[in-house]
Amino acid sequence: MATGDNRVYLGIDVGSVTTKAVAVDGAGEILARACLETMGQPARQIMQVLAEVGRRLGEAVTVDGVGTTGSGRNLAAALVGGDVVKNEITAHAVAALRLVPEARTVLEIGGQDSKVILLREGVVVDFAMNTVCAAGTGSFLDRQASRLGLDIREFGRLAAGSTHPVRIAGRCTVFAETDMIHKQQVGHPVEDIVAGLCRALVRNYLNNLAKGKDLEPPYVFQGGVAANAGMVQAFEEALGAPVFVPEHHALMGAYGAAILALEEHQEKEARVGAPGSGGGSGPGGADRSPSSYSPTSRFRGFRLGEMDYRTSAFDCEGCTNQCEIVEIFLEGVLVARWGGRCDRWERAGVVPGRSDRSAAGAGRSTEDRAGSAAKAGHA
Amino acid sequence: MSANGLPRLGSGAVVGLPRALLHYELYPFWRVLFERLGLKVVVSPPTTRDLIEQGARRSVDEACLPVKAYYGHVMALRDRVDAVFLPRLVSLLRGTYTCPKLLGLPDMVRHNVGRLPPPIILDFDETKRGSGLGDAALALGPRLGRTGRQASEAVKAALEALGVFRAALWAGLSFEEAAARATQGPLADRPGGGPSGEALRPPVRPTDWREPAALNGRPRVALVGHAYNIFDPGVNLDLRRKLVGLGCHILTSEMLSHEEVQAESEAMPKEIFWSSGRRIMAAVRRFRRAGFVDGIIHVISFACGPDSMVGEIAERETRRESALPYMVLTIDEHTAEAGLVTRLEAFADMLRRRRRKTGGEGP
Ligand code: SF4
Ligand code: SF4
Repeated sequence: MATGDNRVYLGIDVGSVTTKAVAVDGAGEILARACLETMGQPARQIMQVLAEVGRRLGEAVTVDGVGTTGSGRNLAAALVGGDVVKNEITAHAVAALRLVPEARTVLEIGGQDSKVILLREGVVVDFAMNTVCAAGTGSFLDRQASRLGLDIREFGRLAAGSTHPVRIAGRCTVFAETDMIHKQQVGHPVEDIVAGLCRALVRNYLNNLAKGKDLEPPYVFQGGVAANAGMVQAFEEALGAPVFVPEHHALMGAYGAAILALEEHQEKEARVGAPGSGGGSGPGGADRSPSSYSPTSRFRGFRLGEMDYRTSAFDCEGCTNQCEIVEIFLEGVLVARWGGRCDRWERAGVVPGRSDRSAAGAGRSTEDRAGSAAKAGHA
Repeated sequence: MSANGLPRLGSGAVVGLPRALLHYELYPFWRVLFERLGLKVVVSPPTTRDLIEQGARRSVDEACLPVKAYYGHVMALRDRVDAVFLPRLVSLLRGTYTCPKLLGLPDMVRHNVGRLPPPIILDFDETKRGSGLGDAALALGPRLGRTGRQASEAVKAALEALGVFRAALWAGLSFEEAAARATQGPLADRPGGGPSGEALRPPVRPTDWREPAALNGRPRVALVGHAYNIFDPGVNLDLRRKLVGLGCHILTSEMLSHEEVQAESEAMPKEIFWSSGRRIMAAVRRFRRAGFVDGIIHVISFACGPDSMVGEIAERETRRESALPYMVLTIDEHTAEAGLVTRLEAFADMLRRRRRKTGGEGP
């Protein structure tokens, strides 16, 4: 290990397409990583990536902090025992700045969303994110590649090698697809079509998401789509400057979350003056494997995957908002609950040992036991 | 229905006020007015998802979210009131107009909502003589069979309540606090009685946002937009509570006085003629130069013409003239809660980290 001690910090990024985890050491170096498709089963996949990272790290580590991000960040924090729960924008910005401290623009395109983050002197000054339009996201590129019978890597290589990219309408996925088919039928070579598609997506990104924003170099391009050489080239052409793609570009959310956990731990230590004060909390504490136990983190241990967990949801009938309330149980104990527009349910927050759903009023339960059903598959 | 187009309402009859749109600018006025005319007032329940869905089914597709909510509120009053108040608000300030969608609203509602209680439709138009807020309200009394004296006393009390309400908002109180202050005095409790003004509490000044106290690192966020978008938690997905939960201190475009709005507006190369747009633009400029505001969030309605135009001008000007963080949140009934939360969290983080960097107050 780079620093010579055995303290690590975990970052978990739960997105709608993939679930990722990384472990970093006290210097912020990545020690282990794991990535799985979320496949609509975030709880199960969180356990899986965690177990995977635990295996790769080996036994003799102490987890001193856990950061979570992504759309499933609350779920991950509740299950794993998170110390820092952060939105994707902050996590991605922190990750980019760690690698390129002078970065001024972060371009991020993931499986189902895209972001642009403007940085000046190491702080976020503006951002935009698109979670609605699928044009230009990883899922769309994957689909087009498979439609052309190409592996996504090959797609990128071909696009980067094109000399005469065709012009494709990239404003919306439907138009782009129709236009591509048309260009194919007319007989354009595949490399020119895929290069044209990359250009269209970059144009779309710059004209819509980044509209009215002053993009300045240095540029950092991250997210799964940054693996696509055609997209990198299209960005460099459009921006007229080199675009830096970090080695772990697809894990930057998780990496940023780990760095945030590391930073928070360091701040905590600086405040207290010495390591080892404070305390973990929550159910599951007794089940932590001794090797991963840390007094400063809420982390429940890598053996978490062996615990029985269950997520359920019900519609609150307290008023006509009919909020869907999500509950997470570990070994039958309610560890987290959220989803209400008012604080009727959150007031309890974490209530070890009892569910006071009846006390708060009636609710229609639509419990699903996907969690415990999925558990059998791994240990 | 009487000959003058208004329902016959005896003393004690119940009139319903839809809790939507310009309710958030004029509620104390309506309430005190009707109570002083001897009627009981019922306000529709708070906006919920269900209520919006109901309303969306009755309204035209291109309607904005607040208009859909308005339909829902009118529907929620059915079977509960003897009459429903549907004011037609053309202009509330000389030289400005409300949005064109509001002009036809009373008629649209009348035609699209079934089982509608008898409507009280009244035009308010400051650009026409005798149609301003006070004058139009004055004409209502006799049409409902009240004496001229009763009518003028009612209008006087209503205008006073409105004055108290506005002063409270301008000092920085929330809609609920300001409305309570303006309507819950003994005055409103004794409809038709008591010398006017006597019981109205003067607005308190200590909370005035213009002389901000230290916030211990809490970022100050200015929420700008239509009053109904900023004040209605059911429409804005409880934006305010979310921001407060993220440790932010909130200022709003409703905290500017008429004078402040006018002063800012006159300094512009071209004044905005939508009343709400004028206030929003003025607020953006005022907050930008305040020095103690950390960021601006502009809440706009999807499919709102005035919003998209004013929003464009305000955003461009802010970016050109300052480095102040500025975020536009577009809201409709399909707005995803999770995406909104992520944006708000990122915005709050950004303000906090910037403040730390620039050595602003607090940690
Ligand atoms: S959680 Fe609150 S807002 Fe949501 S339905 Fe229940 S009572 Fe209503
Ligand atoms: S101004 Fe905009 S939000 Fe208001 S009613 Fe008109 S269209 Fe709707």
